[in-house]
Amino acid sequence: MNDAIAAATRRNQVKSERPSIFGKSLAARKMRFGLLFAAPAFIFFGLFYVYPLFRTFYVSLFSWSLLDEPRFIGVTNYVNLSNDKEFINSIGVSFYYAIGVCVAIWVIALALALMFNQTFRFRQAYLSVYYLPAVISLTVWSLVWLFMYNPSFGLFSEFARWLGFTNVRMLDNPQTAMPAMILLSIWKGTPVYMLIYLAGLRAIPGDYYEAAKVDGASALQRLWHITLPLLRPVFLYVVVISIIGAFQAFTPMYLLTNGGPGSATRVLSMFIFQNGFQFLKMGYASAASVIFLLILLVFSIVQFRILRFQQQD
Amino acid sequence: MKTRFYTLFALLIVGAMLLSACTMPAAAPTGGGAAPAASGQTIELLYMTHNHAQSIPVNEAIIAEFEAAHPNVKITFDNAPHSNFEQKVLTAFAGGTGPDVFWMGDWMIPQLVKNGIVAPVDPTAFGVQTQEEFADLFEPGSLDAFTVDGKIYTGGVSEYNTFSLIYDKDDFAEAGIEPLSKETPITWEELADIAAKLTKKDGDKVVRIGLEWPFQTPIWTVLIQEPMLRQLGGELINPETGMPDFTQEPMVKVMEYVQGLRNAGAIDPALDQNLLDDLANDRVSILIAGPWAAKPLNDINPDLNWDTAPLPQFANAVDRVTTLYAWAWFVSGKSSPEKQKAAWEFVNLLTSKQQEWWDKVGYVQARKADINGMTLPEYYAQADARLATIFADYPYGKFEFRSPQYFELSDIWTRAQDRVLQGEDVMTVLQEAQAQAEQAVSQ
Repeated sequence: MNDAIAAATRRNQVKSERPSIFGKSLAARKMRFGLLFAAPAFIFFGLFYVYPLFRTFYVSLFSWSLLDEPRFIGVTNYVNLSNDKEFINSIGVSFYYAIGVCVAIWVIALALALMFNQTFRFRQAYLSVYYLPAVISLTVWSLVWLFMYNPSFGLFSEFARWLGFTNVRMLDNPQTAMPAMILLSIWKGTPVYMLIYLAGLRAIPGDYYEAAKVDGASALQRLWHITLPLLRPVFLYVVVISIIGAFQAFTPMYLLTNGGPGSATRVLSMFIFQNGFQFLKMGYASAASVIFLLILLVFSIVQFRILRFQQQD
Repeated sequence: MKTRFYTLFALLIVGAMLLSACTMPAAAPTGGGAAPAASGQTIELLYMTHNHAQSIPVNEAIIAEFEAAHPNVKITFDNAPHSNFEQKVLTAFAGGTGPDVFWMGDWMIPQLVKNGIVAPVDPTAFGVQTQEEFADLFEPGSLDAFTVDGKIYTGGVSEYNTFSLIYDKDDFAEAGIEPLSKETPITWEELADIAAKLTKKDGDKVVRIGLEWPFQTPIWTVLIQEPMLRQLGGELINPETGMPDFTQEPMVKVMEYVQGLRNAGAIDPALDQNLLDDLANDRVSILIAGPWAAKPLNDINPDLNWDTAPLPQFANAVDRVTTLYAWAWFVSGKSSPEKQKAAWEFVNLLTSKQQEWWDKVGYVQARKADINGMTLPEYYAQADARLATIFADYPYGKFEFRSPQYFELSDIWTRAQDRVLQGEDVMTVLQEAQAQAEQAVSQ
């Protein structure tokens, strides 16, 4: 009880010591300067993130084709979306893609980072080669894979043929079209996350490993008891960013399959783009965007909670 | 500190909501950007086209000529990639930066007219007084698609297209198939047999496919399948109800036919790379394409021994029908009267360059002309005798269906085609397409 009172007293003291922003003290001036420097970022964030967010929600309550007068229709767009099989399908397709890409990236990027955290010959050269896909534009990358998947002369098809698979038609088959997208996205996305993991690994003090070695810990034990626990904040970042990125994927599907065959690769972002900018149903697309946002929000909150609990443990 | 932060955040949210409400989207504002020019001031026009490579220098030359003759007019030329060009123009209009003069496909007419995006033609800019006199300047029927409630909404057609067969004669000879008749169309059923025979394999690898069109592009689905549908007596939009009908018997037959093409190995969507490159490089033997294909084909592979044949018809067709579609020059209905006047005069110059459009771009024009004593069709025919077959297909052409939901319906059609090509049951696929189409139209 006494501890609680003491803590409250300390908080009040700190509060009373905090300078007012309008004061003339050095601290107040520093605070004003700080806010001044932060203002461009706040304004940018407000104009290009917060405002569009609310604008999207507002537009979702209207029927609007971009060209005519917007008509208020309340939650009709949301009701229609709940009955739209294509929309529900696109949510499923997005989850399929995101899980397929992210799980593989978490594991492969970590494995590569652990590898590149060791010292070996030509390490920098290999690192540059592995990083190469990340610097190529996604559009170019997608078009390269379009040729690679060509069943007649594509490199991927030739490789599959060499392995004994015949008539490999990755993009033409609803069962393989999405795995084809996942594969090219893993290849493209892994290097970036590998570098993030690598930065995390470099930040772990070497003393821990030396002490563990002295205590007789094996390499696996050092990985399990030192590396992975200390990488948790990095892992949290990678998980959140990769999932959000995967849900926003659009370019490969747009360029390689246009969402097909049928709707097999029509992810949510493509559904939104088509409804908004091809079918000119801005209200409908905005409603889908709001639901998309809520899905990502729920995902992010759950991820933060789970990983925070783990850290507290 | 937390309380202050939350207060600030709450204020930010309220502010953003108020801002959203205050700036609620309105109807498409005035296009053209610059303010209306007062007398004597410079009139600035924005001209927007898609970026077909050969057309850009021709457009630039005509702009220079017009500006030289009209020193008070400054034209900014903007061209954008072909894919989703329509959406880019419409988005520009929605943002208040719509062009004053622009290209657009005939299928966009319902949206353009309904929203006042396009202005009815000003015949005086073309040296005539009435709309009827203006129509007489063009090939009969070529402006039908641009006429709504008796008003013509274009200054002329920039590309006037039909579809016929273009094929590699050497592939035919290699497969022991006689060249196709240039006068009498073969049947779609015969085309399926011929295309299947032309498909060449190396083990399980297809090295050349018999027939090709861009399978993923919704507009192509319509351009290829709608004439088939009409030959069998169908229409996508039921003329009595105004509703799309994907489950009608002719549509079922068309889809079964397309599925049969795939089953016979006559087509293969996975091999479609680039229509003209594929024919020029012997990756395909037959294309369904328009007169615009001639020039690029000759450029890509001058040794290609190609020829033409009329668009096939079904054996039990009720009517001979071919494809017809056009891109045209439009003037913005949102521009000021001064700008519209200058814009129509500019379009008059653009449409009077028939020879350049054909010689340098390969675009068929619809405005009548006398070139060295020849009519335009005569001039085209003497340029390449093979094209006479394609020109003979024009009179049977019908423009695409009209609907404010054109893009959505063509997308539904393409997805249905995708599934049918995967071997799914045609009727099941079409019933689902119908449900989607009804939902699209009802929203």
